[in-house]
Amino acid sequence: MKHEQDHVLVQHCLNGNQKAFEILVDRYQKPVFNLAFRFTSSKEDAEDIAQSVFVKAFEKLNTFDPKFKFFSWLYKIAVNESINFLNRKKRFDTFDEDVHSGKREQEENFHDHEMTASIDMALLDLKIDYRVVVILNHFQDLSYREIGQILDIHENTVKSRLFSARKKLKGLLLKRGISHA
Amino acid sequence: MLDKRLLELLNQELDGTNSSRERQQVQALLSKNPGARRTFDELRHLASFLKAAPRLEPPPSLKRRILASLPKPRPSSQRVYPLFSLIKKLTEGTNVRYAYTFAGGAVAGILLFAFLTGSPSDTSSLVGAIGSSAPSQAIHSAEIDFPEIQGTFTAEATGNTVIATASINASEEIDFIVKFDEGKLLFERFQASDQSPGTVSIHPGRLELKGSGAMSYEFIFFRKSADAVALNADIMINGAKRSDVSVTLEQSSH
Repeated sequence: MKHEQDHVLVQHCLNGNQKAFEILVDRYQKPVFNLAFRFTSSKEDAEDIAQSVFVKAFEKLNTFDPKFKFFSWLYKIAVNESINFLNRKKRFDTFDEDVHSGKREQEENFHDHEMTASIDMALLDLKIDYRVVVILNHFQDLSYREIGQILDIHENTVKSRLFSARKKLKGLLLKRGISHA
Repeated sequence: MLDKRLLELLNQELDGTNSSRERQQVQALLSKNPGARRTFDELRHLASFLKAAPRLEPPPSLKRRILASLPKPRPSSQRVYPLFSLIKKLTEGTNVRYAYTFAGGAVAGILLFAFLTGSPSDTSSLVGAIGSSAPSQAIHSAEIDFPEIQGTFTAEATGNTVIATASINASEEIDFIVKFDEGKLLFERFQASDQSPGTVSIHPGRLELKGSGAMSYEFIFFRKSADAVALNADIMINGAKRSDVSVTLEQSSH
């Protein structure tokens, strides 16, 4: 069963075989965790988001349409969960500075080098629409079409957002002294 | 300053999505336009810079957390119970009359048993006759009653199983944080009622239920010892503690 295609595993799950879902977790926990991490720049938050993504996926598995790719469907849940998480966090953080200074410094210790921390911080400064296309394209290696399917937007919109996001990101990295980006 | 179409071509070149004609256009442009060359180099550097960022390995505990959070499979409407399964089997093909004989016999047996052992409304002895069941300790319950959140937090022990139930209705998003002593309780799983909109995250010694609206969650633990156990829950609204509730189960006789 380990080598079955995603949609076959989904069918097994729907027939009550929880082991099949375990294989899907094995297959996708890393990209989902990384996606959430790029959104939040926090390992702990990324874990919470990833957990919630898989629970939601399990609960809504009967709504998955096998005409589409399972990972697109799962990433869609992951993107929504990450955005909802950030919105909730924004509401709860009385002082925005907590997010923009204290938390980041704390997380910087987690990274093993400065360059990675700079990317994370620059990503956090991008507005969500831009951040999500950069994450899906550069960190998840998805095509314009796949990103469009996940975000329910036209491919051309993906392209224009991505190109603008790159320009903005380059500027943000320059501001942080990363001149060779 | 490069125009919009040119930037689009350079970005597409970076992504490898240009047609062969567009690729030729880009190559010609890069060879004669230093501004375009510089922009393209910057884009390439940015892409390789992002590519160089390490992909993190999720912690080994993540999978366990996810699997422990999955709701128990819901009983399907097509679920077939053994007695009915047997009857169904008998009614198929030529065995119909045996099915009626068996079903009639089963009903008569149950009625006779109920008549001989007590009043029909008292089914406890009937349950006892079918399967042994560990005696359940009294349910301990705490009321929650605030303008933003109402409900109950209860705990019940059956044998070595402890079930804590949070049935709450919150008008705004809350965090309901159940804290337990890991020395005495081992968290096994949780299950939500069908419509519960919250999410649960699992941490050492605490479970965090987050959400709003009507939520009903059961948290199931294994009781490690016969000692009395307490379950405490902090109710947080907007990140600030609003109140707490506590339920205690006495020392078990097991």
